[in-house]
Amino acid sequence: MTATATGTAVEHAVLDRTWSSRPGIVGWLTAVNHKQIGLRFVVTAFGFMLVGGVLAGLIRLQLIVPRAEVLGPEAYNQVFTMHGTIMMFLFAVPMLEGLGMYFVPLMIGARDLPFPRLNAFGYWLYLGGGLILMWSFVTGSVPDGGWFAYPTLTGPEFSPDRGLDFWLLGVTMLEVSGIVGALELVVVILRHRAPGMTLSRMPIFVWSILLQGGMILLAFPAIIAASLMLEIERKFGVPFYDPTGEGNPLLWQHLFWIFGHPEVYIMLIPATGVVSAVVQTFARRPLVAYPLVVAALTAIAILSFGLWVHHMFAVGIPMLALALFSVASMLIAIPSGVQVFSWLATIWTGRVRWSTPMLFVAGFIVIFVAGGITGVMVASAPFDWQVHDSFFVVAHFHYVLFGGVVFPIFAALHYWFPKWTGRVPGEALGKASFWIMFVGFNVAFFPQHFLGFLGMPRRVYTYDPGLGWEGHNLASSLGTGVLTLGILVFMVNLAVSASRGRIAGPNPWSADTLEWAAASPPPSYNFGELPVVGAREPLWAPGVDLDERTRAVTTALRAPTAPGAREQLATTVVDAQIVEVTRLAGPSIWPLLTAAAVTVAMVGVLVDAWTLAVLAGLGVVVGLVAWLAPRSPA
Amino acid sequence: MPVGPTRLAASSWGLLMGGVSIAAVHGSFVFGFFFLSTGAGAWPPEGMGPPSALRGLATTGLVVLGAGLAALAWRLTAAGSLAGVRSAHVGAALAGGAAAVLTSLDVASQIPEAVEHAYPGTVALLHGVVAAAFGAAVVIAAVLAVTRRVRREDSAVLAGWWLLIAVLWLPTYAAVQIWSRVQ
Repeated sequence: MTATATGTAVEHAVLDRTWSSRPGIVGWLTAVNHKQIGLRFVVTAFGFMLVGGVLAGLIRLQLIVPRAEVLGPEAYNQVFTMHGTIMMFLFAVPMLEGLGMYFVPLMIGARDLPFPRLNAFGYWLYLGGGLILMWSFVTGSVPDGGWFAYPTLTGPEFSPDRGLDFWLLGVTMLEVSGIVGALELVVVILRHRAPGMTLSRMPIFVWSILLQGGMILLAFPAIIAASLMLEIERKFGVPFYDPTGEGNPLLWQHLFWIFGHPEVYIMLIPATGVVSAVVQTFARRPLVAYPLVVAALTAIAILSFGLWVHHMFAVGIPMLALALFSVASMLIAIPSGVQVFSWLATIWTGRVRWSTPMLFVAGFIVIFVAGGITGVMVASAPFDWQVHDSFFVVAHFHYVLFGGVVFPIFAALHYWFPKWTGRVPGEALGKASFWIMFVGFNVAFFPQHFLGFLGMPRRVYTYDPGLGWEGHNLASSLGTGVLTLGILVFMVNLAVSASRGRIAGPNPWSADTLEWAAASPPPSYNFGELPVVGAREPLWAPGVDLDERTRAVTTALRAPTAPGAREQLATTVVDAQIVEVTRLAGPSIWPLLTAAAVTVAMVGVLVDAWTLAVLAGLGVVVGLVAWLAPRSPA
Repeated sequence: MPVGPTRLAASSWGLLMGGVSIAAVHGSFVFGFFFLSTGAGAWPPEGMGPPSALRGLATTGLVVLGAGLAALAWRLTAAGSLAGVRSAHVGAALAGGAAAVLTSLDVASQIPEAVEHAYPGTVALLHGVVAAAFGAAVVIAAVLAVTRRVRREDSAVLAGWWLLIAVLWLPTYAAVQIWSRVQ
């Protein structure tokens, strides 16, 4: 158990005044609180997921029967490109980072992220990048080079319109936003954990966000660099990828997949963190083999940087490299398996409540294992050559990414919904949504394995009758419809529960982590008295005997030590011993204005309005100086 | 236990994380430089070459000077010497400005032939990142000098930034000035 105290009403009022955003629209635009920004990420990412889902529906409508005419070939290219782009860049990573931004400070007993304005800037940048990508639909120049945008197809010669420019500039902004969020999360986890929350007592979800953050910091720069080079090639003709000028299109493939393969685990690792949290809560016992799970997550994070070439098996790689990357790709199944066995053992030895989040997790385990097995299959180069760019690969990565990431995200949305709204989501509709989604998903994607074996390539907008593909495509499209229905039921359930759900109280699931010690929804300052942790499952463990110094500090911070000072504890990296009290920045309009200037600069580059781009670039510098300018001389 | 407006711990870690990502972007360009060199017939091609060796050496000297002054400012901050800190900040701003000019000239020297071949493009890119980093160093140092800041965390940011510049410049210099000449 943690040592927490309620504090007086006066102390709470003072803390609330100190940490709250300003009222009204100005307050909304200047907000920096981690819960507001995190929730914005979650809601915006969910909105983008719906857009990506509509595009997926269009794809399946076009393929439902041979020679369908829902989409022409150009529109089909645009639709599958934007579907992949939205799901990878606008939905999955921002959603998971948003969950991290909201819950990690609560889970580690902090009051906010360490750079609140930077966090707000990251959100506005994300929104700007997303809007640039969406704007392409309005202009008609929609990106159509696939979500991995290989040159020379996406170079100036074969993609002369602005579609790819939207993609390159939008994605660059999104990745910078991702880095900003990762930086926040890594620093808050390393430096602002509650006293006593040693590394070995951190919740697995926090571990997963820490690893995700580290991976983002190292992986996203590769796609930023690659995108900048391609945009320069497209705008100015510098032949980075053009072989006629001694450029090399394989450079893009290397840089893209140095980002792209870790990207899979950047999504998967926090998703498995959610799974561990849900399994522990609903099995009502500590996670089995916690140290091994941490080691497995770490191993996955490291190994994921050594696998990128398995996406390039078909380009002509030396045999030794093929063998090395093939083995490395198979190797990652081992730590993944460790996690699966930990969840199974926890479920096996626990007293499981099969509530909706737990059902989504169970569905995840089934689908993820299936996707993992096909992953080991395509890790073998000779097999990969046979199914490369076929629907087998489409089935594989949807099993990994939809089953492995989207199902845990839905589990998380249901699990943490009471913390956001103060109300418990309905179980009947929740369970119905799970079963509809589970059946729909498998009907949609399982037949695609067979389509791949039957030779159907991905990214073809239609097919002839008589190839043996009709039945599988029909089933796949119908399954997509069922899956969509399940998502709609899920949304209806949350919408209804937000106003009519049972009042949750702080801890409706009897969970063990610190976010459930705060009120639902949490106050602006999270905790009146900062918690002190004495066990890995703090809410299930007996109380902590505080030493005098710790008691003095946590008591002192029940109110600001100076008027308006946003203060939180900084602790040591490993042992979480108190080091100092830090003061955080408050609300500001400059993050929004600076992100707006970045967006305008990108638009300037996009439409070749170079004066506008330069002026907006100067605006960025002015914004940064104003944002960081000292408020008083030292 | 210090209770006050210090953000040293978090800001230092934040700078480190941001620096890692900036270095990784630059590292991707360095990877690109060497990757393209392996497939090219000649690298640099006949008639093209690296920027001026003299400018490269001068830039290296300015990196050492700027980093030294930034480190000095950090030490003087601890001693509370306002005049000394301000002088070091002004010196670092001047060194950064001069280096920004030199590396911008390096970029400019490659631009005329950049559409012909990948070599000058990658060289310009590498120097462009460093030039931008020098420019940022000027802004940071100038703001600190103008606002007469003597907080340890501010000087730590400037010192950290110059460390990042060194991390960016050394592979750039090694790739462009040394590797290009021994090919």
